[in-house]
Amino acid sequence: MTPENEKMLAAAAQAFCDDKGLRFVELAGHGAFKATYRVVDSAGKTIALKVYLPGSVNERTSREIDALVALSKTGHQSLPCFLAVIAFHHAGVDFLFSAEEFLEGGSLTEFVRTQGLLDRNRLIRLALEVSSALIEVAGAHLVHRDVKPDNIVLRVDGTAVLVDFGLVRNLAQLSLTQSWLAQGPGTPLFASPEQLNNDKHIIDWRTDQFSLGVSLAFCGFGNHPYAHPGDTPDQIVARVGSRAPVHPGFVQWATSSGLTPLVKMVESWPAARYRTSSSLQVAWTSL
Amino acid sequence: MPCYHQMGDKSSNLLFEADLGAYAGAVLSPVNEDSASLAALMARMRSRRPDFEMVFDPQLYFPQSEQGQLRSWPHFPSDVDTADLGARAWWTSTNDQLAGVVNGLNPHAVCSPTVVPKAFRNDYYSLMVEVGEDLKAKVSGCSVLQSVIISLDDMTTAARAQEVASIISKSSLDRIFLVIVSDINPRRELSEVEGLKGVMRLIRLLEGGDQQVLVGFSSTDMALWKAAGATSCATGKHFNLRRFTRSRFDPPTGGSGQLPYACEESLLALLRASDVVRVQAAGAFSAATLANPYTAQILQSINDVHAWLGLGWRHYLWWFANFEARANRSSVMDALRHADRLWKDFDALPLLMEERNNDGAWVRQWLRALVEF
Repeated sequence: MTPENEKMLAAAAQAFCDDKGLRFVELAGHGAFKATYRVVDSAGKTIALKVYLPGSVNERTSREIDALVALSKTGHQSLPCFLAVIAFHHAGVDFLFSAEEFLEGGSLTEFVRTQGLLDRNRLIRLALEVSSALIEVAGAHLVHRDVKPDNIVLRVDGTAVLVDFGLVRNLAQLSLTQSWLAQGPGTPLFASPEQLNNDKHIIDWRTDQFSLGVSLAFCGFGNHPYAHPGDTPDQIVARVGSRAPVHPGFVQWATSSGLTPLVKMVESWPAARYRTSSSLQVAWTSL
Repeated sequence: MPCYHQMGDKSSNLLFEADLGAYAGAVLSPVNEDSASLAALMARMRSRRPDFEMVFDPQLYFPQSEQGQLRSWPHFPSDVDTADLGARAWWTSTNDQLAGVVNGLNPHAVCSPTVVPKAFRNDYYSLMVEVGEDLKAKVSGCSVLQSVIISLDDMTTAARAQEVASIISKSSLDRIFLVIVSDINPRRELSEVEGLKGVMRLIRLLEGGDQQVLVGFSSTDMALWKAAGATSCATGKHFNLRRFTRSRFDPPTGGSGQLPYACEESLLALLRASDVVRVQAAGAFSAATLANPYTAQILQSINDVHAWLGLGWRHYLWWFANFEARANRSSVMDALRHADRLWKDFDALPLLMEERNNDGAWVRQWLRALVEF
């Protein structure tokens, strides 16, 4: 995002807060087309206020919001609580705002950076929490498509929450990704082979399962399951895309750690992963 | 899991044979029976064996060809010659009709409708998964099997089995009715190793995802499907000779179609009358053949072709059920190794079968498929 756009969105957020009686605190983060601000309401509750860049609001945005609204209704502890979507006119421009609960615990990426790799028990808890969120996501015929440590945020009590549904795909609706694209949307290092190859016909909730498996491997094993020593991220992505086997060191670690479900989660073909979200949950629960 | 009768032309009497009681169910065909006679058959079977599972297969495989009684059934689409079979709406409408048939017949299970496509593309499989889900939502008191037709040729492509399995396993249906299409001639065995390996991988992946596979229209190749982990297999009296091909519904052409054969496990082969005598003289009957209640009858009427024909069907069906019940990767490997050695010994003697192509060559290919899949 350009500095000019950042400035424009911040001014709009400030005006929005003034208008709605909210206290603007700070910028919490931004992507290419939206910025998120920490604000506080009159009851003292901290809220994540997102503002979308004018002109960027499209079918994807409305699908993201639809997904958040649907998932919020489940009341699942590992899914964000969506509060509202509001159109707001400022300085002659129409802005779209959305408000969600603000998660104070920071991302999983930050947690691992500051606290080190997760031990077995913490990893199992994390797997159970996020996979149970994926059950809800799959049940709504949605695929998140961007599960990664940056998008797993912790509550103050340590509960993991799956956030950022900006790339969500509704399997009941027509795909917005062109078939001729070499690669589908997603963060390449955490993406499944079917995302990397834009194999749209085999994308379903198991795509998220793969990315969760890779995320868990990063947090417990400290590396990508497909990485060989000295690999660059591009080389790892190429291995995943070509459906090369996982590195034997990862399998050895997962097996010796009693975390064998991880090996199945990161199988290169969806058919070899857990077919149902409940079977994934059972696999982790039985450890 | 026990095996299933694959119902075909004039085969309903076999359901009631006391010596074929090991069959757990039947895949019913609307090609050979109209709705009234099929309902009567089902009622008779229910009264004899309440636990016998009746699976209704709508058999729309080749809808544009004339097939026996099929056009008299309500689920047979009237617009089949002009319809766009790639349109979801057409399948939704077909499912509506099929659900009506199923709710009237009340079978234990129904296979989702499907056609044999010109090309086995991913969008075909994706659509068929949607069709299966749609049917599931429309029938009550009856489970739905996801029908999956695969081409043996298509399965020779590297990783094709994994790709197809990844599409099929998107289905919420926990049972699969698998049909393998080939262009094999009658009396020949499927022996393209890469294709066999692909089918076996597909079965293994689906079963690994807790989708129980019932392989339809199978024959002695059942040994491979069971070794790959298939829950059950279905066969019919004609599948001692024929396979599921595009010409499957053609009437048998002169010659081999109506010749009698016996099934011999020690060779994993089907034998003509004179070959039965040769194998017996060589002391090579398997324990299964010696235990087969139809073996003695066959030997008694070895020169009576008409008596033989019916006995040959029964002999084969008895063996199929007997072997299917004990078939797993290890036992199939043993059976194939034994057959491979025996064919080698016969070559050395030499002991030559009546048919030139009945030389056991497929056994080696099956062994390779089993070792390598």
